Amino acid sequence: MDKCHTVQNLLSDYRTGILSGGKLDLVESHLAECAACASELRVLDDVLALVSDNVSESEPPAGLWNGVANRIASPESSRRPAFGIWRPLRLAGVGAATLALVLGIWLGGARQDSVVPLRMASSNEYIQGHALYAGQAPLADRVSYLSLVASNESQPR
Amino acid sequence: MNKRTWVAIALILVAVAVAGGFLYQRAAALARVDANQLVCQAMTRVGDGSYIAQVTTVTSDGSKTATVFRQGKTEKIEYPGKSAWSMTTNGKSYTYLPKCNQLLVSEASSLLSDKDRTALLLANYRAKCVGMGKIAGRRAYVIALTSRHSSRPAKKLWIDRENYTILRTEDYSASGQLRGRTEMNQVSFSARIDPRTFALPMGKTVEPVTICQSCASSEFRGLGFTVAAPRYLPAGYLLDGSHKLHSTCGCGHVSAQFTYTDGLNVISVFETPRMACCKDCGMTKCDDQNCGIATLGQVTRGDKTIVVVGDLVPKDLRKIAESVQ
Repeated sequence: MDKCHTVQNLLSDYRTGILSGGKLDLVESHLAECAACASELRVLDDVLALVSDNVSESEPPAGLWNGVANRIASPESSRRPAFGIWRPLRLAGVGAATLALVLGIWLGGARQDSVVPLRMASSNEYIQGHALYAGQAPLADRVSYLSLVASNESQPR
Repeated sequence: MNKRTWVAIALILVAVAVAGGFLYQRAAALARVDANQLVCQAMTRVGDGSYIAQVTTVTSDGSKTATVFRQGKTEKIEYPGKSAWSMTTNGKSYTYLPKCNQLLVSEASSLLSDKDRTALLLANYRAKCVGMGKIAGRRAYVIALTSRHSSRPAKKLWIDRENYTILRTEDYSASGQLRGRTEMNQVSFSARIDPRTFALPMGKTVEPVTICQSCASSEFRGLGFTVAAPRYLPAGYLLDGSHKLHSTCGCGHVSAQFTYTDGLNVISVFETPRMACCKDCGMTKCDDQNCGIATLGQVTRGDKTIVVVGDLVPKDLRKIAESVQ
């Protein structure tokens, strides 16, 4: 299982052709004997060929899994007591809440509005150097990256 | 159980059945969308088309608005009030700072072609259509890009259903938290852009300052200290360029910068001479700090300091910094 995890982490490098030596041998020998990892590679090939259909299994929203993992690891997680008594009014309340939640997800999708605290070392030339490069990537949030450079006007040069 | 209990249970069952039907229909519609194809078209569109847009970007630092003028591969972002602006064109970026009348010039080399970069993105990230939305009055597909590797950044894109322009983005850090979002409030694809919008300021009063200069890694030999690429990189990253970073600290030293990408996220590895005039923590083990857009880690080895910047978990950051010989 650990070996599968290691090999699957290396599949994109393998397909890009940048693996060599021991890692290349590891991937190739494992792919020859593991149907699951060979299948993962086929999925990757399909994506790269852009002929794949949509992934059939349901996937969580971007970032959700890491967020859940962090909350599980957090010592501050707390549990609420469960309902003790089954009362019709509470049942109806739970039903209404379920309906509202499901319709809410259906209508608008779950939105996360909290933002990671930003502690910008604005005078740091390396952050600027990074932002200048990263801000030119095709999917980069240029308005945000380049504002870091533009907002440094007060810094002495 | 009395009658009211049965009524409540019946209501819940009906609600669940109705909601289930809606969800099934929605999931079936989303499953028919080819998210990979949409991402490819959006990446192509990035270097095409023209528009004027009012954009708001929100981070925990607050919200900023800007006007974006896009024509082909040229894009100018004007920030209100201060009249500072940034422009990217033909692999160069210009940032005009009116108070000190400086024009910061930066070259970003890219060893990867658009096609290579798209293939790399789809090799490292799963694209999935997770919904439909409406941004600035335009209908959009909502595409989630989630990494095939653990502990990596993720992104959501709202892609215009007609012309594949990216209307909204949400960026998630490697720790899974929302880092920021940028959204077009208004966009006009038919507005005529005055060509003077993209003119660079001229005259003796404007001082051009080169910050970042594209170069071959062999040119690092002249920097006066040993430069070596990191021996460790997280899976999926490829070298995308090498640059000289001219210091803004006043002492005039030059740093070497290697840049790597996995198609979405980028890592910069800086190597800089260890100089007394610059802030140097002198650490022999990597010290990291979160600076919002990325995590910055720094380690000092012999005659140089290595600084790694990227949206990475601290473990990877340390491994990269400490793998530089």
